[in-house]
Amino acid sequence: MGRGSLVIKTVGEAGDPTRSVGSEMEVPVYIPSRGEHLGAVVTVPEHAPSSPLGVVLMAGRARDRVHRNGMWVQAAAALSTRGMYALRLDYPGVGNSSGPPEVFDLEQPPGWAVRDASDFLLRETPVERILLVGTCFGGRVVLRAASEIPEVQAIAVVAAPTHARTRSRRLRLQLKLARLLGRQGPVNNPSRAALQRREGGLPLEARVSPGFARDVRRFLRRGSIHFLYAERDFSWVELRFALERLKLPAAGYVVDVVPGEMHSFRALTVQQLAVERIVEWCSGFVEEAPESPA
Amino acid sequence: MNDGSNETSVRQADPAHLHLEGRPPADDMLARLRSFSRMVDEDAGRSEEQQFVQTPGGRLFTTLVEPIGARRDVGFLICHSFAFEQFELFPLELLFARRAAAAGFPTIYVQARGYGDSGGSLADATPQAHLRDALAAAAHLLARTSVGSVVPVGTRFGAAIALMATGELNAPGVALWQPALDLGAYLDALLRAFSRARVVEEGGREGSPLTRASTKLLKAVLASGQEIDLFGYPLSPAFYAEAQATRPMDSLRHPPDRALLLAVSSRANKEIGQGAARLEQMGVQVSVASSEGPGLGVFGLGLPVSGHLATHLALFEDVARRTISWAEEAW
Repeated sequence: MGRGSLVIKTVGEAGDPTRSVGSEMEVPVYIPSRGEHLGAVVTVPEHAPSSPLGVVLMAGRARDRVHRNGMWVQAAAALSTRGMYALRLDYPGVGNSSGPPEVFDLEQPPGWAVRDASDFLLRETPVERILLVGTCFGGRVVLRAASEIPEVQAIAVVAAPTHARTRSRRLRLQLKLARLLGRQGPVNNPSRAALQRREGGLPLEARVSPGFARDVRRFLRRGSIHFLYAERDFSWVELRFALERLKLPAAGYVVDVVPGEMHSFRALTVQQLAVERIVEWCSGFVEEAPESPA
Repeated sequence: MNDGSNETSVRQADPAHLHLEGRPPADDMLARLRSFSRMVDEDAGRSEEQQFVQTPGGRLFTTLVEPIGARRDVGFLICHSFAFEQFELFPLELLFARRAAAAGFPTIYVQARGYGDSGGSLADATPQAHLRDALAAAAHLLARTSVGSVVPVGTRFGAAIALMATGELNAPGVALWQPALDLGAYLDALLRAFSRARVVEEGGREGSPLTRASTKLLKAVLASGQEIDLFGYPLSPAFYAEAQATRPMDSLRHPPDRALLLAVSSRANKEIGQGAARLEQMGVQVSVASSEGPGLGVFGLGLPVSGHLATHLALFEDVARRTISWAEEAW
């Protein structure tokens, strides 16, 4: 896999993407955070190396921590067999987390939740180094958190949006009002053509999110980023524009592009592929394989 | 960590760390972690515990929510729906568990095997497996709390499971939200929605000659013994066949005293009308109610929906409020 270059890979041998999870040790927890609690499950490896690695897994859609069809449950099981701790995290106000669900802006993702979860792993387990993995919006969340956690070694950003959301002032006000009233907001964005004219003729996907640009640049000063995207995702188009426009140091990141569509993970084969790629990537950071149990 | 230069990358292993100890997890660490499995919210008057319950078929993930103060003699068992509907409706069901516990009803939410943190494979699930797991959770609720009886609650497919559990538990009541009591029709509706929405590949494999999949074709795939990739959730031939043969209303051995049938959209009106009539024939005291609000799409479009939970909250709160009020009238 090259760094700072595109690697198109083909789908590997398809196994059973819905395979049963083994008997790994899992402990559900409530992590204190900002006066509320975040729901999570910690997967503990049977044997860990002397510099234990923890992986925080964040899904993209705010429903619950297991991701679609239990993708993160499978990933956590696979990580634990390779000697890693794993923590799959609920969004604030969602799943087993306490408090009401909140609407998070793409430019202000709740990186603090991942930071609190990482602090919990570092405090309550032998974990010394952290990897963060986030899909879709979760990719933006871990990107925001990464630069604030010194123990984070690298992050995987999976099919995350990277372009700036362009909304008219009127729409922003309508959305704010809808949120206050607990109603569904309007969806009548200004026309695409109008927005494109406003951007000087550039395609909207080319308008890079300021938060993404800031978070990527900040984290690349000390860590590496693995971008995992799929060819047919709109977010892949966005990322290509972003990488071209941001002129990031090529040594700092890897782009892994797989066939198909990852957005929403609505296919079993894509789920399996994503889990395999993520586990493979994380395994590269284990300093040596854990000893087998006697 | 590097020195702040723009060079990065996969780190080289620190030689000091290359000697592996292969340490097993320390008992005190596990005990400490487990001490975080319970949360107490005194302001809301409830405690909440996430727990894996071991059953002969494997582990089940449960959330047990209990009142801190006075408690009633009846608890709720929440039976979730099928495939992506479990994912969509989990927030409603946990919200209900929290509100019910605050009102004095100990409540358990269980994820059947193949769902959520329970792990396992959904490809191995069947309606009967759903029921077994729900009954195991009911047994856990009875063992862990002082309640004398359990009232099942379920949405859509989960309503059918709740109704079947009612008979097994000899429950005094049951609450059915937007129920799908004809499981064969329920799955066929999902297949119809799926065939309209997606171009699928036979058996989820690449290189399939299939183009647009009709419902008939999807049924033929199931009949041939292959599973269908239903928006990222496997629908197995065994599940489909068992669902077609399951008649929750017909197999209700011990009808409850009371039943709440709650409609969230008019799509369930026919099913609710028929269900109410059947239950009344059995001597059940039936209450029919409805809730409205943004977010009703999660109650069965046959498709995974978008939209933010914050916009569904008012509807979810209304469903919970109406159900708790119904329960408070009797228990």
